[in-house]
Amino acid sequence: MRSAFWAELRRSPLRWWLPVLALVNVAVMASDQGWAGAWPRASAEALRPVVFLGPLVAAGAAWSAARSGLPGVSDRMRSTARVGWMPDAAQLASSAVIGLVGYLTGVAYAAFASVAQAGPGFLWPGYLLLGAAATAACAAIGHIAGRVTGSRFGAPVAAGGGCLILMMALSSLLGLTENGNAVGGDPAFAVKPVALDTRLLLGLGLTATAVTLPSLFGLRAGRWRPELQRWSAGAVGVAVVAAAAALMPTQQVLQERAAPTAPDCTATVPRICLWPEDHFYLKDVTALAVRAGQLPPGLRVPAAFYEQGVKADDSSGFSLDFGSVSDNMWFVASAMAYNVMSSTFGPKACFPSSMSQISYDKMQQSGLLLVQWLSTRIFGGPQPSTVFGGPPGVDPTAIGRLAKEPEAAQAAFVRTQATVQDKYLCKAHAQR
Amino acid sequence: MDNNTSAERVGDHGRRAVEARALSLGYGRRLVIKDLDFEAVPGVVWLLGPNGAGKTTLLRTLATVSPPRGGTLKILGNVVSGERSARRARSGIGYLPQRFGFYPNFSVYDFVRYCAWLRGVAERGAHQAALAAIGAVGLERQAGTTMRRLSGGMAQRAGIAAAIVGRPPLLLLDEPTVGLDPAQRLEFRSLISSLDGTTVVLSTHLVEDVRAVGGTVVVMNDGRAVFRGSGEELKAAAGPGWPGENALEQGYMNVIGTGQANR
Amino acid sequence: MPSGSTVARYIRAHHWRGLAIAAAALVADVALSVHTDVSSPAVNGYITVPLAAQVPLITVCLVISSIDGPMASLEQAGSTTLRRCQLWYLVCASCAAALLVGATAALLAPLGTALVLVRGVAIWAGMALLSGRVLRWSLAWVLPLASFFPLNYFGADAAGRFYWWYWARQPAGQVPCLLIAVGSIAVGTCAVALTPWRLASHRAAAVRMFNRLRGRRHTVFSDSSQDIHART
Repeated sequence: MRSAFWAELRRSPLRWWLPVLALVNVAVMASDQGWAGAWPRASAEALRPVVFLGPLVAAGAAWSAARSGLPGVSDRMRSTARVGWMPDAAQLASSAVIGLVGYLTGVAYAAFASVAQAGPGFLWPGYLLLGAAATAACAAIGHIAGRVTGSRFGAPVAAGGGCLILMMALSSLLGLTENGNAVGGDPAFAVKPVALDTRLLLGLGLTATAVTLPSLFGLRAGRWRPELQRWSAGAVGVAVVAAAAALMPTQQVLQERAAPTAPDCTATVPRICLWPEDHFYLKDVTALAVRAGQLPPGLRVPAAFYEQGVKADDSSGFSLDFGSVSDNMWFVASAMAYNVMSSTFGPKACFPSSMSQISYDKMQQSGLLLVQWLSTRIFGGPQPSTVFGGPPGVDPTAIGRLAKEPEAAQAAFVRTQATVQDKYLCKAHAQR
Repeated sequence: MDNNTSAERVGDHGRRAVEARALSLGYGRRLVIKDLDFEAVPGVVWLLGPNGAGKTTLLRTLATVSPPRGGTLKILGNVVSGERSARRARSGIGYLPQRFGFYPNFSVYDFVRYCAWLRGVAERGAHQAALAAIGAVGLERQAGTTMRRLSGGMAQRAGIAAAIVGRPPLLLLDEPTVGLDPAQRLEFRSLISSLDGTTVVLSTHLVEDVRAVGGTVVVMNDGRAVFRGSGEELKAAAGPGWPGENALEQGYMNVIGTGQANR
Repeated sequence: MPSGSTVARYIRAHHWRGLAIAAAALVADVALSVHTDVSSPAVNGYITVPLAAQVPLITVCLVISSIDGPMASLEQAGSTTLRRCQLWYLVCASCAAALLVGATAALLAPLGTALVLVRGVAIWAGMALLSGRVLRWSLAWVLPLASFFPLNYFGADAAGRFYWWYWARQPAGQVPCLLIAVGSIAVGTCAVALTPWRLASHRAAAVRMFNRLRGRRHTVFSDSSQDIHART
């Protein structure tokens, strides 16, 4: 089997695609390197190219397998002394290996880009296996399409197009997205073992189906009846695929991890505590913490800020899921700003039901101004141009200018806004 | 290189490589061959016959590609009655179909080596066996050339190499000399003649190949074997007055009942 | 124009059964996907794209690839009749595919959506024609499928605004995308028109012009013992 596999690999039409697959992979990964430096994020990032890689691998595998329709090939395969699944296995293996090598190029890039600056550990296998399972599944789908139709006309388009639709429509089922959002590799979450097993089973079931069933198609008078084992193996493959497909919608791909016993915290007051895997961000959040400790009087700053999931039984906390370091730090600063607001004015805004709309708007606007200013102060500069949106009715540029004014002016600003908050919020909740 | 693995695997088959009794073969609802008895012992057996006589159908069945509709088939001493026994028999059969297919991207070496693997030739020694087969058909210099770049004749020689790789005890060749130039046909004849101990069953339209190599001749017509004997006996069927080379053709035409060849 | 029987014969030799099945599948595809948006990875995170964006891609790949067939080697030596048939088939099959996709979408979604899909058919048809001509007709799907990646991945800026050239998300009447469609069809048409013989003659003409510009003449050898050089 080894010689057949190597012959297939050496001569596979897909081998010309390898540079393209690798290029697509690296282009996706290199376009935004905010993930570099944190192992779970780097691992999740390696999943993103699979949406494009999978259909290319499926189309190529279908093209390769459709050679079974070439004149004379069918008789050659029917005169083989090898068990029926072996030639298919050798060919599918070559297509899958090429697809996986293309995928692993991105994984290698992720490791290479992160190794110099990442914290303890290495790439997380859960994410990598999700991507590998999806790539192998696409190769199997392509092989089935090519072998069953024997047509180089429709099989590549059907397989490539079909996988494209699957990848786009079912990306969350496959684990490539979570609830329509990117799987960001947040260390607070990990791939659920059961979910991973289901997706691996899907890949294995499709592979078993791909190598056993196609030669059974077109069974008609004039062929030896295949042995029961081949039917059984094919039936098992189909059953496994069906079971996995039925289970997948019922499962969340990610599950929360237990809080770390030794989070990575800054040596500042207040301190900021991160997941050890996000050690890469420690230097940047230290700067935020120092600035949070230098806020004008009148604001109550919590003793500690936590990344999501770091504090047990506390699902709040900021998230480092936004891409570039700069963008991330802005959103951390915003989250810290809201924490400071809650700590100072109460966790829950409480105001009289008889409050007029004008008064409500004033209170809202005052709160938003304070949040934006706090974010700017903690961040150490105005809102980055790459971050869009913000509190409605608040001019980030104006707030940026305010944050550069003398401390006395800013302290006066704080007092003014605090007065507005105090005026309208329930005295029972005020903690100033 | 003498690879006995195939023969050992299929066991001691005595003298007869092929024993078929009352074979009925066909496609769909059409019965092409009915109640045919056929035997082949080590040596050369030529299948002659007009188009549609059933030669290819017979060879495909002997190669266990298609199961017979009726009758019994024994290949190399083993009864072939299902897929498992068919697969076991194939390890001793080298088969060249009339329209043989190949993967266009494969080189000649890849193709021959892959076919050796398909036939169950052991990995150890397969490399040497492939090289020997390629050398036997004179394609050493094209060993690294992809199949799609070969001329028709070279591709045919590659197919012959794929059939003889590993020296199977039974060789089934369907019109093997198609596309070969005269010099290559001479080489092919000497190759066939040199395969001692091998049973070679070939179909051909070229009577001069029969004349040159000798062996047993089976003439098929309309799904029946209408003649079985040596080349001399076929010549004798021409009747008196047919000297030299035309006698074989006339004998053939007499046995299939189409009248006289040109003198 | 080729006769009806010629066209029918041509279609029979070019995957008519597969195309019929594909047509039914495409109608179902449009029906199921025209109202669905999905997430697709993009350079700035993820963007929302219409699932129906893949329908023109698949349609075009099937239609253009069907030019290939089991008798391709015989068709290479075909006469003018075959060539005319081929061109008519290309035009009519592409239009029929666009009509099928557009009509199905128009029944289920606003007219603008249908026109966007038809525009997509035109754009990808040009790419498929180029891919088929450069590689081979059965590989006409390569360029379109490969283009799907950069189109979707780099199609939007950081604010999620789609670039002008991301045709799947631009309104039907947007001029730059219409120009892209026209340009793509033009490129595809040129690719089809550039047959191997025309290419060879253009190449020969280019070589002659190049040599003339460099001031060379042909060196003519009448026989091995007499070299005649004519130099300026």
